[in-house]
Amino acid sequence: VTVTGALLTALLTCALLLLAFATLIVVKRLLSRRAERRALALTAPLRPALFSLLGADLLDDEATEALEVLAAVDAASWRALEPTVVSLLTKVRGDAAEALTGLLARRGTLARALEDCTRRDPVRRCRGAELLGATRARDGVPTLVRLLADRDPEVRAVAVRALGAVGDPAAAPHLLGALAGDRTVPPRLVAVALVRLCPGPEEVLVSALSDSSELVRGMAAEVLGLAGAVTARTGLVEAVSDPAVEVRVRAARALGRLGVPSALPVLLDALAPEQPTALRVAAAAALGQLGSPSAVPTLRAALDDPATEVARAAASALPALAAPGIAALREAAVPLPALRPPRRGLLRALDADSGGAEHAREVLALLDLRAGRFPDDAGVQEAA
Amino acid sequence: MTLERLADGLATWLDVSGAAVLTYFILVNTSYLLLLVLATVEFVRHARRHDFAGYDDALASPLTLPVSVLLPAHDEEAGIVESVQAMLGLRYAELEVVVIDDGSTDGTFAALQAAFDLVEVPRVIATDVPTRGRVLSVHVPARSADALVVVRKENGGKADALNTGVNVARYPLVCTVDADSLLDPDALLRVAKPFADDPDRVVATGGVIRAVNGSTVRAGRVVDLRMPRQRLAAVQVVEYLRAFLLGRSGWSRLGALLVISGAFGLFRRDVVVEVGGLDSDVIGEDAELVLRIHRHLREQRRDYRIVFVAEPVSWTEVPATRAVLARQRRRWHRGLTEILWKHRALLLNPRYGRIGLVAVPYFLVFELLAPVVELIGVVVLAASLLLEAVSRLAGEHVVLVSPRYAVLFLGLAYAYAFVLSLAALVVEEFSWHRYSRWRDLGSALIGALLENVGYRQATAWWRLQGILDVVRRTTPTWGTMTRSGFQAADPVAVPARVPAALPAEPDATAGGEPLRRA
Repeated sequence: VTVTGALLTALLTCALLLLAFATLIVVKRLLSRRAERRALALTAPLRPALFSLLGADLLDDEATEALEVLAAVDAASWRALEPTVVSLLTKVRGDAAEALTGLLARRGTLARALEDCTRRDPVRRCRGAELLGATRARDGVPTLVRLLADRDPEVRAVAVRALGAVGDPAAAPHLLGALAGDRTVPPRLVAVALVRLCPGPEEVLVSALSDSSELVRGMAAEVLGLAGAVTARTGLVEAVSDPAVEVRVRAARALGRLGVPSALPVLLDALAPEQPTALRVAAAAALGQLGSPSAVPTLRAALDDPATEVARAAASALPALAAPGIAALREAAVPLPALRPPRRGLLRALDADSGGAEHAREVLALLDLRAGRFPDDAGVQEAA
Repeated sequence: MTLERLADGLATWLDVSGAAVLTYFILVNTSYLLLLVLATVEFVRHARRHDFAGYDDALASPLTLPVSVLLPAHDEEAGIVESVQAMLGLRYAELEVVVIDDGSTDGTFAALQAAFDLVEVPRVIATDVPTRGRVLSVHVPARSADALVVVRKENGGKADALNTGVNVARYPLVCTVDADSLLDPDALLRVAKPFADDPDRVVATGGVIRAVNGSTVRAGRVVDLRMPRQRLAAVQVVEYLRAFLLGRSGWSRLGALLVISGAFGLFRRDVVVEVGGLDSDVIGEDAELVLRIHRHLREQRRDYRIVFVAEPVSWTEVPATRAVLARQRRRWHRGLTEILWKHRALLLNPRYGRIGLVAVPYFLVFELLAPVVELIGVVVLAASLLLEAVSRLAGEHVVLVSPRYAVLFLGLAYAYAFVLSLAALVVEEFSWHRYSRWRDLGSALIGALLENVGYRQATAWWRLQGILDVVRRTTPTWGTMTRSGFQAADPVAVPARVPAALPAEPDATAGGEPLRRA
C-alpha cells in the first residue's frame, strides 16, 4: 500500500508539474505580448521626432525642436525608447550621431553607463563599456582603460572594442599593454581596435616594434600594415629580421600591404629556402604586392618549391609583377608531354610535389577568367 | 495450483522488471533534468550578453578568420542552386563555398553550371587528408572565381567528399553543411564567435539543428517559422528541442560535447588535418570526428574547447513519413554503435578525463542501450495489462495473481519523461521564443505528449535494429578498423564493407544527426 501510495503521489506531482509548466508558458506569452504592445504604444508617437533628428545634416530648427521633444519625454517612454536610440547610434555618423549622444547625455544614459562600469555584475560592466563605445565619447576613455584590466575576460574584450570605437589614439599604449600579463585579451580584437585608432598612435606602434614581448611586436607590425602607416617602413624592414618568426611574418605582410619598395632585399632574403615556411609564404605574397619585376627570378624559382604553400604563394604573386611575371608563369606552365589525356588539356588533382607547372597553370587560368577570356568549355559540356 | 504459482512468479517478475525500467528511466530523465538546468544557465548567460556580442565588429574586421564552407552533394539537383546561393549570401567577413559533387548521377552539376556560369580550371589540390574518390575536375564561376569552387569527384561517400573539401579549402576554418541545411544570414557569425573569443583553445563549434517542417522557406532562408501541422514532424520538433538543443548545450557546458552535427559544424582546418580527416568507414562520420578530436587532443594533453552554439540559426527538414524516419533512426543508432565500439578504449579510461569517465559511459548506458530498456518496458507493460485482464475475466474459477506495481511504475516513468518534454518547451519559450502563434503552442504540447506515447517506443524498435545491424554484419572487421586509431584513411584500415554513406540511402538528406538521446 505504501509503495502504491508513493507511486500515486509521484504521478500526481508529475501531473501538477505538467499543468504548472503549461500555465507558465501561457502566462509568459501573454505578459511579453502586453509588454511589446505597451512599448510600441509609448514609442510610436516619438518616432517622427527621432527620424527628423537622424535626417539632420546640421542641427536645424526642426532637429533642435525634435531634440527638445525627446529630451522631455516621461521616464516610462524614455525607457522604451532608449534601446532604439542606442542602436541607432551605432549606425549613424556626424551630426546625427552627435545629436543622439547629446540626447543620451541629457537623459543621464551616459552617466549611467559610466556608473555601470563600476558594478559588481560583469554583464552590467560589459553593457556600460559597450554603451560608452557606441557613444564614441572621449570622456569614457579613462573608464574603459581601467576596464582593460578587469578581472572578467568578457569585460576586458568589450572594453577593447569600445576603445576602438571611440578612436582616441591616447588609448594605444594601454591596448598594447593589455596583451601582456595575467589578464589578457584576444589579440585580434586589440589589433582591430588599434587600427581604428589610426592615424595617431603610429609612433607608439613603431616603438612597440622593439617591445620585449613577441606578441606586442607582432601586433604592432600587423597594425602598422593594416593602418597604412608608411612612416613605419624602416622599423618594419628591421622587424623582418626579428628573432621571432611570428613577428617576421607579420612584418613581411605589413611591408607588402604598404608596398614599401625599399623592403625588396629583405623580402627576397625572407623567401630563401632556409627560412621558415610561414615567412616564405608571407614574403612571396608581399613581393607580389611590391610589384617590382626584379623579384621575378626568385619567385620563379619558388614555383618549384616542395612546400605547396610557398609554390602557390609564389604563383599567385607573379601576375602582379606585370609582363615579366606573367611571362615567367607562361614559361613555367609549358604543356607537359604526352602523359596528359589528349582530350583535355586541364589538370586534375595533383601531388603536392609535382612542380611549379600546375601552380602556374592554375594562376594563369584564373587570370584569364578575370580578364574575361573564358576557356573553351566544349570538353566540359561533353563530360557533363 | 501450478497455474497460480506460475502466475504469481510472472507477476513478481513483471513487478521487478517494471521497477528496474522505472529506475533506469528515472536515471535517464534526471540526467536530462541536469543537462536542462545546465543549458538554462547557458541560455541565460547568452541572452544577457547579446547586446555586446560584437557581431558587427567581427563582420567588419579584416582579421576575422575566414571560413571555407564545405557542401557535399550527391544527387541534389532539386535544391542545390538555392542552397549554394544561400551559403554565398551568409553575412561574414570572408568566406568561400566549396561544393563537392560526389559522383552525382542526376543534373546536380548541370544545374550549378548553368546557375553560376561555371568554367573548368586547373587546380592544385593539397593532399593534407587522405581521400578515396578521385577528383575529376574543378570549376569556378567565370566572373567571380574566388567565392565558389565546385569539385567533381568519383563517388566515395559523404565523409570522403568532406575530406576532399578539406583539401580544397583555402581558409583556416572549415564549415561543414548539408545540401539541405538552411542557415540564417548571421549563422556563421554566431558559430564563429567562440573562435574569436577564445582563439587559443577553441578547435570546433557546432550549431543547433532545428526542424523546419511546416515553415515558410524562401530562397534558402526560413522566413516564417511554424510548428508543422503534421504530427510526426511536430513530435520531432519537440524531440530536437529537448535532445539536441538542451542536451548538447548541457554537455557543452560540461566541456564534454561529443556530437557536432555535420549539418552545421565549424572546425579548425589544421586540427581536422592533424587527426587525419573524416572516417569514411563509419556512418556517423561527424560525431566520430568530434570524438576523435577529443581523443587526440586529450592524448596530447592539449588545452582545448569544443563549443556548442545554441542560438537557433540552422534548420533542416525532418522525415515526414514513418518509413523514412525508421531508416534514419536505424542508421543513426548503427552509427552510434560503431563509433562507441571503435573508441571503446576511451570507456572509463581516466587518461581521457571527463570524456572517458563521464561522456562515453553515459552515451553507452543512456543512449546506446536505451532502446533495449525501452522495449523491455513496453513488453512488461503489455504483459501486466494482459495478466490483469485475464485474472479479472477468470474471476472465481481460477484466482490469478496480477502484478501490483508494474503499470504504476511504467506510468510514472512516462509521466516523468513527459514533464521533461514540457520543461524543454518552457526553456524554449523563455530563451529563444521562436514559435509565436498560439496554434504552435497547441501543436507543441501534443507533440510532447506523443513523443512519450508511441513515438519513442517506435524509434526504440528501429534503434534496436540499428544495433543488430552492427552485431550481425560487421563484428569481424572491427578489429582492423580500430587498429590504427587515428589513421582514418590508412589503407590497411579499409574493411571490405564500405557503407555508401551518401548514395543509396534515401534518408541521407536527413542524416545530419547521428546520435540522439534515449
